[in-house]
Amino acid sequence: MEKMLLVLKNEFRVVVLRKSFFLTLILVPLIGTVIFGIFGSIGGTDPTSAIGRIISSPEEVKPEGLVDQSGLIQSMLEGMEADLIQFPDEAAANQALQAGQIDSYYILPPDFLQSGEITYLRTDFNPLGGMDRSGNLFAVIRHNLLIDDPQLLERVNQPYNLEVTYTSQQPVRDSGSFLSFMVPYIVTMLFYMVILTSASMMLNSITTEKENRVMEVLMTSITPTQMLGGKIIALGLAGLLQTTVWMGYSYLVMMLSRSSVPELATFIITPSLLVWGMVFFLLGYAVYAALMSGVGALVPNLREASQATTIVIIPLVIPLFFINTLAEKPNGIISLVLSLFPLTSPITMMARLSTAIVPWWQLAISVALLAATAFFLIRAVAGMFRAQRLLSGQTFNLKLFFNALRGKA
Amino acid sequence: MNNIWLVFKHEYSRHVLRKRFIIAVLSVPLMALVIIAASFLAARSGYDGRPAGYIDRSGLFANAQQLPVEEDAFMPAIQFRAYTDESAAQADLEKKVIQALFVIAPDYMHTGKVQMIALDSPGSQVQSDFQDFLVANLLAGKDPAVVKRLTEGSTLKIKNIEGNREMSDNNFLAILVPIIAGVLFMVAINTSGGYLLQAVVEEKENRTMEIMVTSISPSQLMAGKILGNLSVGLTQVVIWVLGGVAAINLLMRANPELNMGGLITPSYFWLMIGTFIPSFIMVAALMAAIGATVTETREAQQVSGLFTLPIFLPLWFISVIMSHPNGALAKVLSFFPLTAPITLPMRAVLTDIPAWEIIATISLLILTAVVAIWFASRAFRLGMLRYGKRLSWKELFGRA
Repeated sequence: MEKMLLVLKNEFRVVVLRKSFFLTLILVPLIGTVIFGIFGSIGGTDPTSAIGRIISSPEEVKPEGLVDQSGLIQSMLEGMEADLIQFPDEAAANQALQAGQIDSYYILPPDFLQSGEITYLRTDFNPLGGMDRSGNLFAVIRHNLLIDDPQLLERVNQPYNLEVTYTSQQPVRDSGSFLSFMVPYIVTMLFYMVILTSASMMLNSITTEKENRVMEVLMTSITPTQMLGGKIIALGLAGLLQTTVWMGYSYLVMMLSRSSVPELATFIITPSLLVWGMVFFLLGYAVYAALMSGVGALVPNLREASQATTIVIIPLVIPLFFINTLAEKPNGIISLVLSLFPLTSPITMMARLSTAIVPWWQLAISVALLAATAFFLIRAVAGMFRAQRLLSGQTFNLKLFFNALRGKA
Repeated sequence: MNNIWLVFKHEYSRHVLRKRFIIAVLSVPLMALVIIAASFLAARSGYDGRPAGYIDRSGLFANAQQLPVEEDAFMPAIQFRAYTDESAAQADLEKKVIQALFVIAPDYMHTGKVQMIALDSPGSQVQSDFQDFLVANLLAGKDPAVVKRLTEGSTLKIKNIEGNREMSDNNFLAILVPIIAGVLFMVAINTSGGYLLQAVVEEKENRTMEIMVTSISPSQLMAGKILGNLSVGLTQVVIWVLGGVAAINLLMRANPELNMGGLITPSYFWLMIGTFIPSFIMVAALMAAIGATVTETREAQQVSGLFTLPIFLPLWFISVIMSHPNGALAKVLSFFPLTAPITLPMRAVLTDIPAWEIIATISLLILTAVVAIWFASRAFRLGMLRYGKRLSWKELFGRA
């Protein structure tokens, strides 16, 4: 126990005091904020911030022209006459274009009603940037298609104002609010990232010690289980520290922007979600850290390790494929299976917990399975740290990995 | 010349003829297939084919027509049963005969009020299908052409004034081409660059360098190494591109409306080649130069990370570049040699670039490539026999 504590203390100090750890701790949220700020301000048509204005200077917006050969357009929508100028024929529109009065125009061909094709001529081509202005034209066309029945048009444009009632006891995600819609996605991505980064720290630490042959010396005075235990706990704590700092920072940002974005006020993280998050993070991390150290013990150097880890990570990625299903049907069959299987359960269970109420027995089974897996994996991996394996320099392959896990040399 | 060829052959065959290379090449298309399959599966699992019920209190939907069902559709349209009695509908909802119940309010025409009742969240499609159902029945009896325009909208065919370029919904996929090409370019650079870094440091690490230089000149060794490792990355990309082209051809045969042509003209193709090749050589030479100045593989990897960062930069600003292809940012990025290979083809798809800009960019790229090679061979010559101490920038640029 004492030796484990020693390893723990040393490992934690080494990792946390490293410059790169400190940098990621500070830089990641900072860069995130900056990028978010810039992109938030240049996303729209008129950049708001100074940086946004430098990066994409607002372009002069000229009105667009319309040549109607189909005879459909009988009246313009109110307030749109200045943005969409009607011309009798193409030649007139072309002339206006040359004169610089407009910079693009639409042609509705005679058979527009049948074919639905519109030709859109722009001086600078620019198909993506041009698209966002054609909404005006579409509104005008719809208006003229149902010109004698504006009431009907309103219904066709917006078929219903839906009011949703769910009769079961389950609280179901409200798809109306953007934030509560995003929560499971954010939680899933966050868990994936955090588990992956802290487990990779484990791999890094093992391979480094193996490569510079400290490992063999260490093994003479400490058992593999003690060493692994100490390392896993230390790096887990470091990962937890990182997550807490990031979460705290984003919480702070949210609190600060609450006044400007009223939607944020409805966004609450319940304490039980936080507690379960902690449990699943620690257990999931333990499982993956153990797998990673197993890889670390077997590979000859760090370069080969990065290839081997892709195989180990695959189960961690699987829930990301099904993220839509998890969010839509948090208690469906796929969600249930993925949240019980130990390698996928930490991420899946968190996605489910953030959208719906999960029956307690499923939580219990999931935690128990995960804990058992972590326990046996750590023991099996500890068995891998034997001299012959550490020294062999054998190239890594899957067969070797699974044989070693089962304790066969 | 013979020596270069020998080095080239050695470098090339020792990577390409290995099992790991073949697995790496095959894994990307396999991964793509798995992702496509998984997303289909995920979409299908969110689909619920059970009918839904509705109670019409507005009297507008008395003789409602169902949405047409295509038998072989991936997710066929949902049918809607009319109920007059709310308790019967509720009972069916409890028995899970219907997945959701919509109640249309008496003043629906004015307010659009509809209430949806469901046990828990219904299938992904039911709400949008119900909207389609409402619209289809509201418009029943109108001129079919008008109905079609209202429900399906219209297609925009964008042309430039000269009339030599056009894009519509059919070939919109072509916008993806420069992005995919850019990503492939980066993968190729990363593979070749990684190998190259390793290749330059390796002989130093295991001390065969001294023996090597007795029978080969440093510039020959360098040239052979650069060419060999570049070809490894190119081989990988060429295999993927050929596979991708074959897949697209199959797709177009099965689905003739898709049309990738029109945008990928021969001149565009040559533009891509013209930017990619010199920038490829430039980056590779820079990588080799870094490899030559450091003494350990791990150190080399850290430094090379700095170089790959600017190459990624255009992808960060992709939305800005795409919506403002003639903006200041897009122009600057398409001139700067490290960001040009991704930015220039992207802009070329979206707008007309003046010929002088293209010529200037490409000549700048070629110039930097030549300078980078010179620089790399110099760094290599100076740092070749140096152990334990990095080559400093001062020495590199000073007189040797």
